[in-house]
Amino acid sequence: MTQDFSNSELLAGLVLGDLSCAEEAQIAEVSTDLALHDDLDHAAGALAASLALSEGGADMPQGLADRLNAMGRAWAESTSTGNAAEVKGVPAAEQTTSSFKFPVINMTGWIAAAAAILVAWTVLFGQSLELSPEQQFEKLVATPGVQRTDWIATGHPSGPEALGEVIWDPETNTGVMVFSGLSINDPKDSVYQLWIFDATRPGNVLSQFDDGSELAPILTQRPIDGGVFSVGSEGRVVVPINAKLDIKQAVAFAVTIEQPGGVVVSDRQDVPVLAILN
Amino acid sequence: MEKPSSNKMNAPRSNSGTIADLILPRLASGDGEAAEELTARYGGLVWSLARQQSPTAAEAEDAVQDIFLSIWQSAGRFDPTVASETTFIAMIARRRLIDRQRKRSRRPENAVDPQQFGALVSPLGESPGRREALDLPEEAAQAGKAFLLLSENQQKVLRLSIQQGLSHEQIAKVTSMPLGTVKTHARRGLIRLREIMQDSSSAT
Repeated sequence: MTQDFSNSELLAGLVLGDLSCAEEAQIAEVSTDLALHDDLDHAAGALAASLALSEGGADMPQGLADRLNAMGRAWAESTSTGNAAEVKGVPAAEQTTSSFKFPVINMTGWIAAAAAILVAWTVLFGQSLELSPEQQFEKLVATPGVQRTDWIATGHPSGPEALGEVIWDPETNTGVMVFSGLSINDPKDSVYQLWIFDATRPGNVLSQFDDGSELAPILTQRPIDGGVFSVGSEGRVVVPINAKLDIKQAVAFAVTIEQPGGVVVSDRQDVPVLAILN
Repeated sequence: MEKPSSNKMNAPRSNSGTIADLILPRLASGDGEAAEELTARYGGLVWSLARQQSPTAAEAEDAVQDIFLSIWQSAGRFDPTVASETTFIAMIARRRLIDRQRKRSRRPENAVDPQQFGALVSPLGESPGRREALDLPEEAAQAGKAFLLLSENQQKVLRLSIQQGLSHEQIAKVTSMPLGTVKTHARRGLIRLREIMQDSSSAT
């Protein structure tokens, strides 16, 4: 079996969601073929559709369809009543940002969108939407045992004086990031991506990041993808952390700048901020 | 800040006849009626995927809401030159369902029980409520044809993984195959599927 084919198998495993921890470390050692990853993801999606539809599909419960229709209409119309570009700019990977310093005209769109969706969701589904990023922040900081640490700006042009902190709850594996001073990004060009370093993961996997410092065992591990996000304001922004795997012992966080959709393995060429837990 | 954009296949992959037939761009531009058309056209697909990969109907309904929310949020990123609308929606659904399965698997009460998966390896045609096949969008039909060219074991494992949402550990228990064999069939099957689909696209 050639090395290329072995790498392809790892990417296929990633798409299928079945990589073991050892394989995750292994995939970090190979050069990642993003085009192949996307093609495999594409093929899996097309096959999923084919298998579902070839069985004849199934009728969604009418009540659910009615609720989705009303909810979807509220969503769509909210994007047209305010600033649609801002709403469409909701980060690519299910995450949202919030800001307290949007210009009033932009906030109007967001408020309209948020209010319409919250009302529709509450009425139709009888439950609240997930907590907003700011609500998650408030909940976390009031939780005993959470860990907090400040971001360290690296001097990168996308946030030379960026400030903020990470709040991480090791019990629930949840957290939020707070930033101010990070550059606004266009998610069509690039996104921010969070990486979480877990002290229990094997070190010395990515030898290219061995700087000889006491942090080398951490820096040379394959970090866990914490999700991609976008920043819509250079003011205060709260971003929920969306860890793709369980974190056993978070020790450091780093934000990189990546192509739209994020990457499987970062080259760490653009790291505007990082944070280390004591 | 700038980064190079990802590789894309440039051939139009719309499953409908024209761009005007697409729903997601209209939804992204604020067309409320598009939301209802989205539910009507793709609700069955999303519901099928969610129902087959959720332990209860209530969880399936929850998953569908989750998936549709992601679709609405992602509508502005849909590019018909990269994937058909059907495939784009199925890709989002798969990702959300994999996320949900991971969360469920962290709960001890969801440990693998081979007995409970017995029904899943029965031919789907025997399941009650099976309906006649629908007309498949072009890209999904292409995937379906490519799927039939895979080996029997690759088909079996990929069906359980992609259609039923079973983890490879669960598939190993259900099929009595070694875990390594399951992984090999699944991964090589997906790679082969992609190759056949690309060859097919090139030929046309």
